[in-house]
Amino acid sequence: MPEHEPAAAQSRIAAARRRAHVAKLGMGAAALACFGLGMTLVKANVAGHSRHALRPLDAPPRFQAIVRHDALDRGLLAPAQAAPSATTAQS
Amino acid sequence: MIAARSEFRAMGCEIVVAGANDFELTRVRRLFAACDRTFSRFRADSELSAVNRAAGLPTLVTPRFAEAVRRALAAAERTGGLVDPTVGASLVALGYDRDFADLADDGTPAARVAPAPGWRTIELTGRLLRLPAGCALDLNGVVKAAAVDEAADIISGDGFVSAGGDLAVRGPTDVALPAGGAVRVVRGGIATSGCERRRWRRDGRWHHHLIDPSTGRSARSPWREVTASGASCLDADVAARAAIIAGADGPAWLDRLGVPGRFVAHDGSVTPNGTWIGMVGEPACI
Repeated sequence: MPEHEPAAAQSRIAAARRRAHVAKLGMGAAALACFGLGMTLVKANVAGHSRHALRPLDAPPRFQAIVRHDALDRGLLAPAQAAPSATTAQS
Repeated sequence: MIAARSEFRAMGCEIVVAGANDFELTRVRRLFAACDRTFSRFRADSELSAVNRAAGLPTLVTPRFAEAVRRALAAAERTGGLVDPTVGASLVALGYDRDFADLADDGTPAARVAPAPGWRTIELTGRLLRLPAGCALDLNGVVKAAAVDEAADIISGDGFVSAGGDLAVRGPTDVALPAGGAVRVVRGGIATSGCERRRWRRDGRWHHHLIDPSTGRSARSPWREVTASGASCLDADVAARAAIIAGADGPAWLDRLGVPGRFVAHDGSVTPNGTWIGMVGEPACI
Protein backbone atom coordinates (compact mmCIF):
# COMPACT_ATOMS: atom_id res chain seq x y z
CA MET A 1 0.00 0.00 0.00
CA PRO A 2 1.43 3.37 -0.93
CA GLU A 3 2.55 5.56 1.99
CA HIS A 4 0.74 8.60 0.66
CA GLU A 5 -2.71 6.85 0.75
CA PRO A 6 -5.04 8.56 3.17
CA ALA A 7 -5.63 6.98 6.57
CA ALA A 8 -9.38 6.90 5.88
CA ALA A 9 -8.87 4.52 2.99
CA GLN A 10 -6.70 2.24 5.14
CA SER A 11 -9.34 1.99 7.82
CA ARG A 12 -11.98 1.10 5.19
CA ILE A 13 -9.81 -1.72 3.90
CA ALA A 14 -9.22 -3.04 7.44
CA ALA A 15 -12.94 -2.94 8.11
CA ALA A 16 -13.62 -4.85 4.87
CA ARG A 17 -11.09 -7.49 5.89
CA ARG A 18 -12.78 -7.90 9.27
CA ARG A 19 -16.17 -8.27 7.62
CA ALA A 20 -14.76 -10.85 5.18
CA HIS A 21 -13.23 -12.80 8.09
CA VAL A 22 -16.51 -12.79 10.00
CA ALA A 23 -18.38 -13.85 6.85
CA LYS A 24 -16.01 -16.79 6.33
CA LEU A 25 -16.47 -17.94 9.90
CA GLY A 26 -20.23 -17.63 9.54
CA MET A 27 -20.28 -19.67 6.33
CA GLY A 28 -18.12 -22.38 7.92
CA ALA A 29 -20.40 -22.58 10.94
CA ALA A 30 -23.48 -22.68 8.70
CA ALA A 31 -21.95 -25.50 6.61
CA LEU A 32 -21.19 -27.53 9.76
CA ALA A 33 -24.71 -26.96 11.08
CA CYS A 34 -26.26 -28.00 7.75
CA PHE A 35 -24.11 -31.16 7.66
CA GLY A 36 -25.06 -32.08 11.24
CA LEU A 37 -28.74 -31.47 10.59
CA GLY A 38 -28.59 -33.46 7.38
CA MET A 39 -26.91 -36.44 9.06
CA THR A 40 -29.44 -36.38 11.87
CA LEU A 41 -32.32 -36.41 9.41
CA VAL A 42 -30.70 -39.20 7.36
CA LYS A 43 -30.14 -41.40 10.42
CA ALA A 44 -33.71 -40.85 11.52
CA ASN A 45 -35.39 -41.41 8.17
CA VAL A 46 -33.24 -43.45 5.79
CA ALA A 47 -33.38 -47.23 6.07
CA GLY A 48 -29.95 -48.80 6.35
CA HIS A 49 -28.47 -46.10 8.56
CA SER A 50 -27.86 -47.29 12.13
CA ARG A 51 -29.86 -45.34 14.70
CA HIS A 52 -28.16 -47.01 17.66
CA ALA A 53 -24.69 -48.05 18.60
CA LEU A 54 -23.65 -51.15 16.63
CA ARG A 55 -23.78 -54.51 18.41
CA PRO A 56 -22.30 -57.86 17.28
CA LEU A 57 -24.73 -60.00 15.25
CA ASP A 58 -24.69 -62.85 17.75
CA ALA A 59 -26.65 -64.24 20.67
CA PRO A 60 -26.05 -62.26 23.87
CA PRO A 61 -23.08 -63.63 25.87
CA ARG A 62 -25.40 -64.45 28.78
CA PHE A 63 -27.57 -66.62 26.51
CA GLN A 64 -24.51 -68.41 25.13
CA ALA A 65 -23.27 -69.05 28.66
CA ILE A 66 -26.64 -70.56 29.62
CA VAL A 67 -26.63 -72.84 26.56
CA ARG A 68 -23.11 -74.04 27.31
CA HIS A 69 -23.96 -74.58 30.97
CA ASP A 70 -27.17 -76.43 30.22
CA ALA A 71 -25.54 -78.79 27.72
CA LEU A 72 -25.04 -82.24 29.21
CA ASP A 73 -26.72 -81.51 32.50
CA ARG A 74 -27.90 -84.75 34.02
CA GLY A 75 -31.48 -85.79 34.48
CA LEU A 76 -32.97 -87.43 37.54
CA LEU A 77 -33.35 -91.22 37.63
CA ALA A 78 -34.71 -93.61 40.23
CA PRO A 79 -35.35 -97.35 40.43
CA ALA A 80 -38.40 -98.41 38.42
CA GLN A 81 -41.60 -98.62 40.45
CA ALA A 82 -44.07 -99.97 37.90
CA ALA A 83 -44.30 -101.76 34.60
CA PRO A 84 -42.59 -99.61 31.94
CA SER A 85 -44.92 -97.45 29.86
CA ALA A 86 -42.15 -96.44 27.46
CA THR A 87 -39.00 -97.87 25.96
CA THR A 88 -35.65 -96.37 25.17
CA ALA A 89 -33.91 -98.05 22.29
CA GLN A 90 -31.01 -97.18 20.07
CA SER A 91 -31.88 -94.56 17.51
CA MET B 1 -51.19 -93.35 34.85
CA ILE B 2 -50.69 -91.93 31.37
CA ALA B 3 -53.80 -92.39 29.19
CA ALA B 4 -53.80 -91.18 25.58
CA ARG B 5 -51.00 -92.52 23.44
CA SER B 6 -50.40 -91.85 19.76
CA GLU B 7 -47.80 -93.05 17.32
CA PHE B 8 -46.73 -91.74 13.95
CA ARG B 9 -43.64 -91.72 11.76
CA ALA B 10 -41.46 -88.65 11.21
CA MET B 11 -37.78 -87.88 10.70
CA GLY B 12 -37.15 -91.50 9.77
CA CYS B 13 -38.28 -92.98 13.08
CA GLU B 14 -41.33 -93.84 15.17
CA ILE B 15 -42.67 -90.98 17.28
CA VAL B 16 -44.67 -91.87 20.38
CA VAL B 17 -46.64 -89.20 22.21
CA ALA B 18 -48.37 -90.00 25.49
CA GLY B 19 -50.58 -87.72 27.55
CA ALA B 20 -51.38 -85.16 24.85
CA ASN B 21 -54.88 -83.99 23.95
CA ASP B 22 -55.93 -83.67 20.31
CA PHE B 23 -54.86 -80.04 20.00
CA GLU B 24 -51.46 -80.72 21.55
CA LEU B 25 -50.99 -83.80 19.38
CA THR B 26 -51.64 -81.75 16.25
CA ARG B 27 -49.01 -79.24 17.34
CA VAL B 28 -46.52 -82.04 18.00
CA ARG B 29 -47.16 -83.54 14.56
CA ARG B 30 -46.64 -80.15 12.92
CA LEU B 31 -43.42 -79.64 14.87
CA PHE B 32 -41.88 -82.89 13.67
CA ALA B 33 -43.09 -82.32 10.12
CA ALA B 34 -41.47 -78.87 10.12
CA CYS B 35 -38.20 -80.30 11.44
CA ASP B 36 -38.27 -82.98 8.76
CA ARG B 37 -38.83 -80.40 6.01
CA THR B 38 -36.02 -78.19 7.29
CA PHE B 39 -33.32 -80.60 8.40
CA SER B 40 -33.61 -83.71 6.23
CA ARG B 41 -30.41 -84.68 4.41
CA PHE B 42 -32.50 -86.69 1.97
CA ARG B 43 -34.79 -83.95 0.67
CA ALA B 44 -33.30 -81.75 -2.01
CA ASP B 45 -35.68 -78.94 -1.00
CA SER B 46 -34.73 -78.90 2.70
CA GLU B 47 -32.88 -75.94 4.14
CA LEU B 48 -30.10 -78.28 5.27
CA SER B 49 -29.54 -79.47 1.70
CA ALA B 50 -29.45 -75.87 0.48
CA VAL B 51 -26.93 -74.92 3.16
CA ASN B 52 -24.73 -77.92 2.35
CA ARG B 53 -24.85 -77.04 -1.35
CA ALA B 54 -23.72 -73.51 -0.50
CA ALA B 55 -20.68 -74.65 1.51
CA GLY B 56 -17.91 -72.14 1.09
CA LEU B 57 -20.27 -69.19 0.81
CA PRO B 58 -22.00 -67.18 3.53
CA THR B 59 -25.68 -68.15 3.81
CA LEU B 60 -28.51 -66.44 5.65
CA VAL B 61 -30.42 -69.19 7.47
CA THR B 62 -33.74 -69.21 9.27
CA PRO B 63 -33.80 -68.59 13.03
CA ARG B 64 -34.74 -72.25 13.65
CA PHE B 65 -31.78 -73.45 11.60
CA ALA B 66 -29.37 -71.06 13.29
CA GLU B 67 -30.57 -72.27 16.69
CA ALA B 68 -30.01 -75.90 15.69
CA VAL B 69 -26.47 -75.13 14.52
CA ARG B 70 -25.82 -73.25 17.75
CA ARG B 71 -26.99 -76.26 19.76
CA ALA B 72 -24.85 -78.61 17.67
CA LEU B 73 -21.81 -76.41 18.23
CA ALA B 74 -22.49 -76.29 21.97
CA ALA B 75 -22.76 -80.09 22.01
CA ALA B 76 -19.48 -80.40 20.10
CA GLU B 77 -17.76 -78.06 22.50
CA ARG B 78 -19.02 -79.89 25.60
CA THR B 79 -18.03 -83.30 24.20
CA GLY B 80 -14.58 -82.20 23.10
CA GLY B 81 -15.60 -82.66 19.47
CA LEU B 82 -16.81 -86.28 19.83
CA VAL B 83 -20.27 -85.28 18.61
CA ASP B 84 -19.48 -83.18 15.57
CA PRO B 85 -22.05 -81.76 13.11
CA THR B 86 -19.57 -81.71 10.20
CA VAL B 87 -19.70 -85.47 9.56
CA GLY B 88 -22.36 -85.18 6.82
CA ALA B 89 -19.88 -85.79 4.00
CA SER B 90 -18.51 -88.89 5.78
CA LEU B 91 -22.01 -90.37 6.04
CA VAL B 92 -22.59 -89.82 2.33
CA ALA B 93 -19.17 -91.25 1.43
CA LEU B 94 -19.95 -94.37 3.46
CA GLY B 95 -23.23 -94.82 1.62
CA TYR B 96 -25.83 -93.30 3.99
CA ASP B 97 -27.13 -90.96 1.30
CA ARG B 98 -30.84 -91.83 1.31
CA ASP B 99 -33.55 -92.73 3.77
CA PHE B 100 -32.42 -95.61 5.94
CA ALA B 101 -35.24 -97.88 4.75
CA ASP B 102 -34.00 -97.54 1.17
CA LEU B 103 -30.38 -98.48 1.86
CA ALA B 104 -29.13 -101.64 0.21
CA ASP B 105 -25.71 -103.07 -0.57
CA ASP B 106 -25.67 -102.62 -4.33
CA GLY B 107 -21.96 -103.40 -4.60
CA THR B 108 -21.02 -99.75 -5.01
CA PRO B 109 -17.62 -99.22 -3.38
CA ALA B 110 -17.57 -96.76 -0.48
CA ALA B 111 -16.06 -93.45 -1.48
CA ARG B 112 -12.79 -92.34 0.07
CA VAL B 113 -13.46 -90.93 3.51
CA ALA B 114 -11.50 -88.22 5.29
CA PRO B 115 -11.58 -86.83 8.82
CA ALA B 116 -14.46 -84.42 9.38
CA PRO B 117 -13.58 -80.75 8.82
CA GLY B 118 -14.40 -80.14 12.49
CA TRP B 119 -16.97 -78.00 14.26
CA ARG B 120 -14.51 -75.14 14.76
CA THR B 121 -14.50 -74.50 10.99
CA ILE B 122 -18.18 -73.47 11.11
CA GLU B 123 -18.70 -69.72 11.20
CA LEU B 124 -22.04 -68.62 12.64
CA THR B 125 -22.79 -64.98 13.35
CA GLY B 126 -26.41 -64.40 14.18
CA ARG B 127 -28.20 -66.01 11.22
CA LEU B 128 -25.23 -65.77 8.88
CA LEU B 129 -23.66 -69.20 8.44
CA ARG B 130 -20.59 -70.20 6.47
CA LEU B 131 -19.34 -73.75 6.11
CA PRO B 132 -15.91 -74.47 4.67
CA ALA B 133 -15.97 -75.68 1.07
CA GLY B 134 -16.71 -79.40 0.87
CA CYS B 135 -18.23 -79.54 4.36
CA ALA B 136 -21.71 -81.01 4.87
CA LEU B 137 -23.73 -80.73 8.05
CA ASP B 138 -25.63 -83.57 9.69
CA LEU B 139 -27.93 -82.13 12.35
CA ASN B 140 -30.38 -85.02 12.55
CA GLY B 141 -29.45 -86.21 16.05
CA VAL B 142 -29.48 -82.78 17.62
CA VAL B 143 -32.66 -81.71 15.85
CA LYS B 144 -34.59 -84.87 16.66
CA ALA B 145 -33.72 -84.72 20.35
CA ALA B 146 -34.43 -80.99 20.53
CA ALA B 147 -37.78 -81.59 18.83
CA VAL B 148 -38.60 -84.21 21.47
CA ASP B 149 -37.88 -81.64 24.19
CA GLU B 150 -39.98 -79.02 22.44
CA ALA B 151 -42.82 -81.49 21.94
CA ALA B 152 -42.73 -82.50 25.62
CA ASP B 153 -43.12 -78.84 26.53
CA ILE B 154 -46.30 -78.72 24.44
CA ILE B 155 -47.96 -81.41 26.57
CA SER B 156 -49.81 -79.77 29.44
CA GLY B 157 -50.26 -82.82 31.66
CA ASP B 158 -48.18 -85.86 32.57
CA GLY B 159 -46.84 -87.80 29.61
CA PHE B 160 -43.81 -88.29 27.45
CA VAL B 161 -42.58 -87.91 23.89
CA SER B 162 -40.28 -90.44 22.27
CA ALA B 163 -38.55 -90.34 18.90
CA GLY B 164 -36.88 -93.60 17.97
CA GLY B 165 -36.48 -94.37 21.66
CA ASP B 166 -35.12 -90.99 22.76
CA LEU B 167 -37.48 -89.70 25.44
CA ALA B 168 -38.41 -86.54 27.29
CA VAL B 169 -40.85 -86.92 30.16
CA ARG B 170 -43.46 -84.74 31.79
CA GLY B 171 -43.84 -86.37 35.15
CA PRO B 172 -42.18 -89.58 36.37
CA THR B 173 -42.20 -92.34 33.75
CA ASP B 174 -40.95 -95.92 33.97
CA VAL B 175 -38.87 -96.78 30.92
CA ALA B 176 -37.75 -100.18 29.69
CA LEU B 177 -34.01 -100.42 29.00
CA PRO B 178 -32.01 -102.25 26.34
CA ALA B 179 -30.83 -105.74 27.38
CA GLY B 180 -33.52 -105.91 30.05
CA GLY B 181 -34.46 -103.94 33.13
CA ALA B 182 -36.22 -100.65 33.62
CA VAL B 183 -35.64 -97.29 35.23
CA ARG B 184 -37.85 -94.44 36.41
CA VAL B 185 -37.10 -91.15 34.67
CA VAL B 186 -38.21 -88.59 37.24
CA ARG B 187 -37.18 -85.50 35.34
CA GLY B 188 -35.49 -84.66 32.04
CA GLY B 189 -34.82 -87.16 29.30
CA ILE B 190 -33.21 -90.45 28.48
CA ALA B 191 -31.67 -91.63 25.23
CA THR B 192 -29.98 -94.70 23.84
CA SER B 193 -27.47 -94.69 21.03
CA GLY B 194 -26.07 -97.77 19.40
CA CYS B 195 -24.27 -99.06 16.37
CA GLU B 196 -26.37 -102.12 15.52
CA ARG B 197 -29.78 -100.83 14.54
CA ARG B 198 -28.96 -98.05 12.10
CA ARG B 199 -26.24 -99.83 10.13
CA TRP B 200 -25.83 -100.81 6.51
CA ARG B 201 -23.56 -102.77 4.20
CA ARG B 202 -21.54 -101.08 1.51
CA ASP B 203 -19.03 -102.93 -0.61
CA GLY B 204 -19.32 -105.96 1.70
CA ARG B 205 -18.49 -104.02 4.89
CA TRP B 206 -20.78 -102.94 7.71
CA HIS B 207 -21.02 -99.27 8.56
CA HIS B 208 -23.13 -97.42 11.15
CA HIS B 209 -24.23 -93.84 11.63
CA LEU B 210 -22.09 -92.93 14.64
CA ILE B 211 -19.10 -91.37 12.93
CA ASP B 212 -15.79 -90.77 14.66
CA PRO B 213 -14.92 -87.24 13.46
CA SER B 214 -11.19 -87.91 13.80
CA THR B 215 -11.30 -90.63 11.12
CA GLY B 216 -14.52 -89.94 9.21
CA ARG B 217 -15.42 -93.63 9.61
CA SER B 218 -17.98 -95.41 11.74
CA ALA B 219 -16.72 -95.42 15.33
CA ARG B 220 -15.18 -98.66 16.60
CA SER B 221 -16.50 -99.06 20.11
CA PRO B 222 -16.59 -101.88 22.66
CA TRP B 223 -20.21 -100.86 23.36
CA ARG B 224 -23.21 -102.08 21.40
CA GLU B 225 -25.44 -99.42 22.93
CA VAL B 226 -25.26 -96.73 25.57
CA THR B 227 -28.17 -95.27 27.51
CA ALA B 228 -27.68 -91.89 29.17
CA SER B 229 -29.88 -89.51 31.11
CA GLY B 230 -29.91 -85.74 30.78
CA ALA B 231 -31.71 -82.65 31.97
CA SER B 232 -33.27 -82.77 28.50
CA CYS B 233 -33.55 -85.34 25.75
CA LEU B 234 -30.93 -83.38 23.83
CA ASP B 235 -28.43 -83.62 26.69
CA ALA B 236 -29.13 -87.34 27.03
CA ASP B 237 -28.75 -87.99 23.30
CA VAL B 238 -25.49 -86.05 23.04
CA ALA B 239 -24.10 -87.84 26.10
CA ALA B 240 -25.07 -91.28 24.78
CA ARG B 241 -23.60 -90.68 21.32
CA ALA B 242 -20.38 -89.22 22.72
CA ALA B 243 -20.02 -92.11 25.17
CA ILE B 244 -20.21 -94.65 22.34
CA ILE B 245 -17.57 -92.81 20.33
CA ALA B 246 -15.39 -92.35 23.45
CA GLY B 247 -15.05 -96.15 23.53
CA ALA B 248 -13.64 -97.86 26.60
CA ASP B 249 -13.27 -94.50 28.36
CA GLY B 250 -17.03 -93.85 27.98
CA PRO B 251 -18.19 -94.78 31.51
CA ALA B 252 -15.46 -92.76 33.23
CA TRP B 253 -15.98 -89.85 30.83
CA LEU B 254 -19.69 -89.66 31.70
CA ASP B 255 -18.82 -89.94 35.40
CA ARG B 256 -16.53 -86.96 35.11
CA LEU B 257 -19.49 -84.98 33.72
CA GLY B 258 -21.79 -86.35 36.43
CA VAL B 259 -24.03 -87.99 33.81
CA PRO B 260 -25.56 -91.42 34.48
CA GLY B 261 -24.81 -93.92 31.73
CA ARG B 262 -25.53 -97.59 31.14
CA PHE B 263 -23.29 -99.46 28.71
CA VAL B 264 -24.20 -102.69 26.91
CA ALA B 265 -21.21 -104.50 25.41
CA HIS B 266 -21.36 -106.55 22.20
CA ASP B 267 -21.63 -109.74 24.29
CA GLY B 268 -24.73 -108.37 26.04
CA SER B 269 -23.08 -107.63 29.40
CA VAL B 270 -24.29 -104.47 31.12
CA THR B 271 -21.94 -101.92 32.75
CA PRO B 272 -23.53 -98.93 34.48
CA ASN B 273 -21.18 -96.10 35.39
CA GLY B 274 -20.79 -94.85 38.96
CA THR B 275 -23.30 -92.03 38.56
CA TRP B 276 -25.96 -94.46 37.31
CA ILE B 277 -25.32 -96.82 40.21
CA GLY B 278 -25.58 -93.86 42.61
CA MET B 279 -29.07 -93.04 41.30
CA VAL B 280 -30.54 -96.40 40.35
CA GLY B 281 -28.43 -99.07 42.04
CA GLU B 282 -26.43 -102.06 40.83
CA PRO B 283 -27.74 -103.90 37.72
CA ALA B 284 -28.98 -106.81 39.81
CA CYS B 285 -31.22 -104.43 41.77
CA ILE B 286 -32.82 -102.88 38.70
